[in-house]
Amino acid sequence: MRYERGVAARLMLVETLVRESINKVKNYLSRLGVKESDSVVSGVLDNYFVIDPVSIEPTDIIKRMDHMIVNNESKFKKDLEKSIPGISRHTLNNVAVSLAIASALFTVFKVLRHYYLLGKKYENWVLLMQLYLLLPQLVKELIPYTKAIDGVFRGLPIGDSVGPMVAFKLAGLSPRIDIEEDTVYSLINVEGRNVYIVKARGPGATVGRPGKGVAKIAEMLSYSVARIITVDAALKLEGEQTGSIAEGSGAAIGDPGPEKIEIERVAVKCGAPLDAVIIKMGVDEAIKPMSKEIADSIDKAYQKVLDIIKNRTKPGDNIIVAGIGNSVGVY
Amino acid sequence: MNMQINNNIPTIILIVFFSAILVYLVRYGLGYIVRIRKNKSELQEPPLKTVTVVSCINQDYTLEREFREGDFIGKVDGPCPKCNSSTVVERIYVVPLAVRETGRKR
Ligand SMILES: [Zn+2]
Repeated sequence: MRYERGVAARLMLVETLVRESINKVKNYLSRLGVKESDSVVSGVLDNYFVIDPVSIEPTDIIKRMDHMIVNNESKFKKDLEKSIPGISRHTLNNVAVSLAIASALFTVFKVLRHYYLLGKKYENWVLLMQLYLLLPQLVKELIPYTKAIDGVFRGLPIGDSVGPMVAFKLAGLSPRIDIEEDTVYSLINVEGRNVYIVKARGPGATVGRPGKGVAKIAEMLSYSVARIITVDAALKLEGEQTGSIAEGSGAAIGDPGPEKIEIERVAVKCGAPLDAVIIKMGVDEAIKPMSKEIADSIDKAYQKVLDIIKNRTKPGDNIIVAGIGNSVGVY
Repeated sequence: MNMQINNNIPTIILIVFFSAILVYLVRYGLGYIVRIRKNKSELQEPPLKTVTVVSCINQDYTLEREFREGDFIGKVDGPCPKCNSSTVVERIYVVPLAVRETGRKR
């Protein structure tokens, strides 16, 4: 009995959080001039799921997965464009990300409610007890997501934007050339080396398709690339310092797979070493507006990338640097 | 005289005992209310302030100001008061309102 009441109370708290964030999105939408913001939001909450491809037949699995993710995303954005006519691409991306966050929150709430009702229906106290013990942690973990919606709508860089920010620090205001959907590159010169900097197109909220961008640039250079460097935010372990920098090998990118494999394949094809520079932060810090601690770490990461370029490549080399992450608020 | 005092002792003990229980219950109840309030206040984080750092492309001028709607990193933000070339938004981050002073010193 005690568990049931405890779970019900905390579930109500979760519901309030979720409703609050859904209302936030609705408010922002009506501020953009959408009349039926209710129907737009409710149309998104339950739809646009992606079914995992068949995995017992591994041939082509990544292509099939990529196909479904890309199709789903473009369907989602086209539908949004239809309901919000005349919206700019970067506002559209901000709306899409906020809706995705609200819909993720709603899904979490639905799953929790499912187990609560199941436990009540079959008088399964073990289930209710597990929920009772889990919920306090979950509530604390969900709060940053509601905060993230405000940040994305106002166009504030979030913790995950460190990759694009390092890319900005390298590229400055040099022209952004389109290479893939929502993905741009800039060409700069670092002591005689041609450095191609790939990032998602800002300042809208999007992660772009950096893997395909890197692949296209490598193709453009007929695979004569000396080094590929990826910069991304990474989850820290509890107790590690937020904003600390680490360097390793491999592709630092946290997508479901299609973008990451593209970078790895290109690196193998070019015979280019793959460096990873990561900036550590907690999962809540990655989605909330950027804190000063993380903003201060960008200079260090930038310096690290410059060191790699200067010490491990020769003048005349082609180098690709990919700033992975959400480019909300970063040109 | 002696008998009367002896009779009173159990009564006094009882009174002391019950008032101790009463005090304990009241304090426990108050603690519970405080705990609920604390839980609620945990949901509300301290107010944050969004800071925009603007600096001149010639690196001779830096300004920290409040975030304005439409700011983004890389936005060209008007002329530099020192050398009249353009300034660019370099950084946008949030700081808790209370520790704003320490942020300013750096
Ligand atoms: Zn100046």
